[in-house]
Amino acid sequence: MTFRRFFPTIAVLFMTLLTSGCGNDTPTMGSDLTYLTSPLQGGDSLKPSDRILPLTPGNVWEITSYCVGKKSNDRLIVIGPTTVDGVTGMMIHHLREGKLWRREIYRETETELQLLAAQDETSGLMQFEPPLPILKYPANDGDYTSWTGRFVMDKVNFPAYGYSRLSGREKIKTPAGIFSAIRIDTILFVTQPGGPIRFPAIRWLSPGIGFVRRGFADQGKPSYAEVTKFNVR
Amino acid sequence: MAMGILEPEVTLPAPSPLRPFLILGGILGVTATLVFFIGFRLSQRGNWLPDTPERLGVWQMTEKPLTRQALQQLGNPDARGRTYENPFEEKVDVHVISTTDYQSYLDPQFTMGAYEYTVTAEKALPIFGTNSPVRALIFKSGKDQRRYLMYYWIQNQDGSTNIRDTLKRDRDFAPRLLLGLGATFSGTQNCIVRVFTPLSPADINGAQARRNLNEVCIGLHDFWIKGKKP
Repeated sequence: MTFRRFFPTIAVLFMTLLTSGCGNDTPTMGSDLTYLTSPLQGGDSLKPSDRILPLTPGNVWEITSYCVGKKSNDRLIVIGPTTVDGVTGMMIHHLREGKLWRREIYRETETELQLLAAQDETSGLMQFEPPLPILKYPANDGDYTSWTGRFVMDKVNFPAYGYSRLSGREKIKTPAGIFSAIRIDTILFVTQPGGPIRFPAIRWLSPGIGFVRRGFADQGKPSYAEVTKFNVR
Repeated sequence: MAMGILEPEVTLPAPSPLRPFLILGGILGVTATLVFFIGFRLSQRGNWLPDTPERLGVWQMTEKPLTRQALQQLGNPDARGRTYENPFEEKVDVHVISTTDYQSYLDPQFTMGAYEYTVTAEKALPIFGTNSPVRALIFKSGKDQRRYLMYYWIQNQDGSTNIRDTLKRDRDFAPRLLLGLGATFSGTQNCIVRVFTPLSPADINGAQARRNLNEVCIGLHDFWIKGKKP
């Protein structure tokens, strides 16, 4: 082969090699690969039959709560049906050291798990109109639920909006055992002069068992609670 | 020769002593023209710097310009720095960087190395479809062991993405040549996009961080390409 033919051949080969590369552009590698490869959907879609919050009257969850270093022994009891503005839900009493400390009214339909109202020791009944959806069925990991409505307290209306999200499925270790739980993040904004007030809450609910862990603002202070014992039907 | 036939002798004219210089001058001239043309095409291709929307679904945008140091690393390109925040106070940072210069293409692995971050995982993820991947990278801080998830890609105005054009080092000859050739032969304008978020210790497998980046990246891609308001 003469130099005149050899040189262009080599040049073309060089450019081809250069432009085509030699394999995969982005390697799949690394000690932290699990952060990039784990499935975004941790299981099947959630349905009401999964009973993530069993609301049978008499169900009890014993929990330990921690708020700014202070520990307290709490108990959640499903009392029974209660009607709020024509909508019937299940009343849960939250006892702290044996005394009624908070009340929450939940409702489960074929399409939603809802919070109808809540009340703590320092306030009147805080009612959500329409009911605040915690989860919409069928629910998949990462699904958002948004809500716009009114927050009614002592017959005073406040415009409000909120979001709820099925953030994922986690193994939760508690004194009562290790649970496979659904993590639901909820945030509620109540509009008032001076800016909206935030009410964040995180619920870890285990199918067939209900509350295994909770995180919420206790009068503005971060609070955390986990189940120590339960009796659920 | 064997037959005894004599060929007439041909006398070639003596080569000019300037010939090698003329050839060299020609090569230099062609190279200079090519370099100028490639540079011109590259800067032309990098003139696209799309804006980002005020809202992407539940995500609210605020301005967060790139630091002077970060811009200097990339050759001081035009760039947009934004932070998107969702109602749960989770934040995603977005950098959109123009590609008018080779230095803009510096690999994030190289640029983040200056801040003591190392890449601990890397994978191509086809979040905009099989032909439009992004590079997903996990960065770990050498200072406080915090981890960040970053999606990095070159966004072409025609909607396609590219994760190949990148300079691993400041003086990376072969990728520079490829970039130049690509810019010369392709008229599609592009920009570099870096989207990143910290990995919360509570986010055990990083699934929520990936979902957050996916939401923001798909929202941006739709906004730029389809003009779709999220």
